[in-house]
Amino acid sequence: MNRLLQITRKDFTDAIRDRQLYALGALFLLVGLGIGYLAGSNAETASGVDVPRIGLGAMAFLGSVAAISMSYNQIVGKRASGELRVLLSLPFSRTEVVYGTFLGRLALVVAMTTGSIAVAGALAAVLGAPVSGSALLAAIVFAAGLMAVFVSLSIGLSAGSVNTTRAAAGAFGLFIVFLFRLWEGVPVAVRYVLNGFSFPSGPSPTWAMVWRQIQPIAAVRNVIAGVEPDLTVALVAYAPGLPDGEPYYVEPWFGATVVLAWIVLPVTLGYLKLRTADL
Amino acid sequence: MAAIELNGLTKRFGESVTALRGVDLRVNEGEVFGFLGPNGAGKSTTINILLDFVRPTSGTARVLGLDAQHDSQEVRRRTGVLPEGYKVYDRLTARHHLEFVIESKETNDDPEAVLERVGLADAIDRKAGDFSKGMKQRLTLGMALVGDPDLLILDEPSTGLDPSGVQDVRQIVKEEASNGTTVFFSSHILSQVEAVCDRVGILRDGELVAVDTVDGLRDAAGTQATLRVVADGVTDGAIDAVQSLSGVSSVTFSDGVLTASVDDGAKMDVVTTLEDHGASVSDFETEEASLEELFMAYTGGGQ
Repeated sequence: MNRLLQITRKDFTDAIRDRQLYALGALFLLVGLGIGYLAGSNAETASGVDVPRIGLGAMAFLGSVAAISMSYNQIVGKRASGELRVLLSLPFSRTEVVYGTFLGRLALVVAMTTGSIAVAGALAAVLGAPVSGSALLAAIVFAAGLMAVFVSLSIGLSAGSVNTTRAAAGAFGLFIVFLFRLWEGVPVAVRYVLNGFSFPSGPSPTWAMVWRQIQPIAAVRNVIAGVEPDLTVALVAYAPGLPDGEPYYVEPWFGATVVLAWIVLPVTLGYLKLRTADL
Repeated sequence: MAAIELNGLTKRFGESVTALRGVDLRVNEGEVFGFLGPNGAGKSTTINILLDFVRPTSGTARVLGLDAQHDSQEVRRRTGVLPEGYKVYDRLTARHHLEFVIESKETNDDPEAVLERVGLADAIDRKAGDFSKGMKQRLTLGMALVGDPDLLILDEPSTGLDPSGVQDVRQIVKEEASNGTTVFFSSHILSQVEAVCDRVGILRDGELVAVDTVDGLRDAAGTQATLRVVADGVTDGAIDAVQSLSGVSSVTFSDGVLTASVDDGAKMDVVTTLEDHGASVSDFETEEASLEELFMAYTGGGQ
């Protein structure tokens, strides 16, 4: 455990020594200030959930992009440069390297997104706009959950890739699949093929509905619906709509299970690939 | 107990590349062992298996009595490694590097004392990115010494080093060995290991072709010494007579100097045979086969 946290600390402090990341940090700060200023300048008409909602929405995109771009090269890049061998010639295990790096990157991305939302809330409040404390807290927690998903996907990708080119292609794929919603096209394509290469008619079958709702951003949204419903609008651009009749697969508990799986499985699959790899 | 024990170690990469073919090797505790071979012979693959970067296709590797795969973390806790290329973290100071290693090995070494040993104490708070190649190597050597390792693995430690750096590495290897540390030293240049190693192993195309002391290798290789005789009045008959002696070969004569490859003990026969055939010998000298020639004989280099 000590060595795992040593890797985490190193990953985090490496980033702090990296001046390029300061530009990204400044961007998060600016976005937070911008949201706070906007809410503050419309203080009379603003509602208490505005800042948390806009903050969460902004972080769903900006935070996810940052999570992917800061993480996808973090292990495969070290593998290519030889740094991984240097680390592994010390008494670190591959488990410690992968999960330690995951935690380090997560801490970094969460610090940025949390900071951004908190700054937005603080500035709005100073400027006299109402800010719901519970909604702000929920926005921060759910943004962090979403970041954990994207850091897990990217670190898993990084650990499982044999070279940096493939990892970069995979990172691009993550953008397309999750942020540009290619995920939802999969059932359409499958049904098209199953239907003899013509577009199917009639309502979506259940499996297609479930598929859409286990997309990680949709799953986060479904959890939010059970906790702070006013915030769900924040993720409308990245998640499909809700089906009628509130089936089990849009229940918050189901969403929470799915989110947990999205946090645990990708990094673990990447680790399992790296565990047996020749470096 | 053996510090390193390889049994039938084989490694294939994909279908076509075989890096190691059934290597058996035992390196004793406290020994300084030189692991030699041309580039691509399988030295790095062997070291990578010892450190569990690479898994053998078949066979086993044991390090310090532990399984190199299953107990890798414990192996690496007790081993100091000077990796090839000595990569450092540009933004970290020498002190940071050592602190990181000290923490990972859970020891209480003093970074300054370690850097003192490798001659880098005055650069302790400088960033490693500004170091010369030699300084980077001293730093990584210092990192390898943290925690008083039972085994020191040096992978091509002299690449890109100036002569004083090479000398310092040798000095430290000797100090460590005298403290009972086993040293496993890989190189493609024989002269670098000759001075410090108790025994050497020569790897060629993934096979261990020889393991012996340097002297033992010289005997085993049967490489002959070169004899040069300065003589007047050497006739063709004299040369033929020398040629026909047992243990003598490659006889040439030019500018009053006769040169021949001779086995031990045959050299006086050459001189007396020449004199018997009327030549007057004014001087002779023998030159033992250089280790480099010996190495070439084993590795098939230079062909």
